[in-house]
Amino acid sequence: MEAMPRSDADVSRRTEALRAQLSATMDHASPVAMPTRQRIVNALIALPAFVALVVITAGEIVYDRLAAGLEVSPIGEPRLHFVLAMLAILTASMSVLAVWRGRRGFGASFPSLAAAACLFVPIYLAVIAIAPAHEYDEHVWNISAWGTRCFAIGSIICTIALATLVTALRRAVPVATRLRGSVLGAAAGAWAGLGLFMFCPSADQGHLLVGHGVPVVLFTIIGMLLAPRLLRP
Amino acid sequence: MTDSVASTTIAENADTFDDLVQDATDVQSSRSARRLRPMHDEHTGADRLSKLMARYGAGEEAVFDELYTMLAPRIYRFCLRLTLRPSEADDCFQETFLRLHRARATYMPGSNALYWTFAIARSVYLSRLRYWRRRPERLGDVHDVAEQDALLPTDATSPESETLAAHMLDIVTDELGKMSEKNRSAYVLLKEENLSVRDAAMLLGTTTDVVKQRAHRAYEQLRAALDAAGWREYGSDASF
Repeated sequence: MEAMPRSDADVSRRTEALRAQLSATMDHASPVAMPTRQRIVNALIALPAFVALVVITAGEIVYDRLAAGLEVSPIGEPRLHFVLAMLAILTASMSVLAVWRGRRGFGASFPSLAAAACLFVPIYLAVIAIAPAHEYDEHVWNISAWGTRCFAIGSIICTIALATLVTALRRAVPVATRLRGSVLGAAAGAWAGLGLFMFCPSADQGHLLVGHGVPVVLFTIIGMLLAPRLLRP
Repeated sequence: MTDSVASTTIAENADTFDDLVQDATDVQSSRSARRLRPMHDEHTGADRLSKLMARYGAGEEAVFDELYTMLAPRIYRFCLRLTLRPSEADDCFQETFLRLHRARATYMPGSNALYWTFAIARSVYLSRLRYWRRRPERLGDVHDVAEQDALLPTDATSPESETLAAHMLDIVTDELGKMSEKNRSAYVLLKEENLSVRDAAMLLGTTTDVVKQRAHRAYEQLRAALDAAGWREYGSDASF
């Protein structure tokens, strides 16, 4: 039967006894080496480079262009600029919100994270629905009807982005890890959305929904399910 | 426990139901816990702790002893309140410090190190809870704590009031074990650790309204349990 420690002396004895055991365990533990702030900065610098690399490589292989999605007719330019600006703002905001540590080190507030996690996908789908008029010949460009190729490229970008963001916050999120994970997943999806917009010239709604939208939804869920284990201290 | 016995003793020491529950839980935390609080509540104590944690996070191993001395009593009591069993509290406590050690570079300098450690402790407890839920055979009876409780005499209480406080403490401890982890954590942080609603919300990763609601539910549950055991609020029924 266990006796509940009550007095100062009881607690001190207990914590001192545990201190000795703890020392032995701590000797074998490997602490995180780099400060979180530095890791976040590195991640935010590396992410655009990673995404650009994937988009350029995929564009060269598939369409023989650097960024086929940005080639539009003069009529489509205002739309292109609007959508591109919206996606860039969305991606930057989601990334900052996802890795932001707040004034007290616990990250963005619960309502902000919840709103971001819930509203990102609808906003993203609404933005990509405003498709600019691309200069392309569907037969020449050989765009897949349901965007399977875009789905694959989007998933690659999402994986890289999610891994980068989670690595930046590894063991640094003691509270609301599930919610933070879903926002990190959504931020990764935002990078994929931006990359796909530059890569793909399709304006077909079915293609955009499946090829560009599904990876974002999928990785928001993956972030929520898988990230918490890595984020907890 | 009859109302008449209660009315002769506890009424002298506590004016409201809130005071009574607080007194009973304070007995468990003991006077020593209350002596420890001001050190951390004052800006100097919190600042000192934050600076130590920042130095430890920067790789200065030598400050760990002082950091441990400042943090350990509060964290151990918090673990004890979450787990309700000393052996589980020991594990939770050790795991908390191990994680603090591993994640020390992730500490944000300037933030409250105590709250950060509380958050880690709760995260550890939730991980263990998930583990136990997957292996229900490992779940113990939380009520055994109440059965083992023995109050230490204090200068301010008479033997009779100690007996009454012990009875009340048994009910409170028992009821804390029955309530959900969320309600219990909110109650412990607000009522026993004296955190503000805003700080508790931040630490629990939720909104202030939710924290208030959870603490209120916990409080009502305690009130109902004490009421059922014959304790009635002074003034409402003239019982104590």
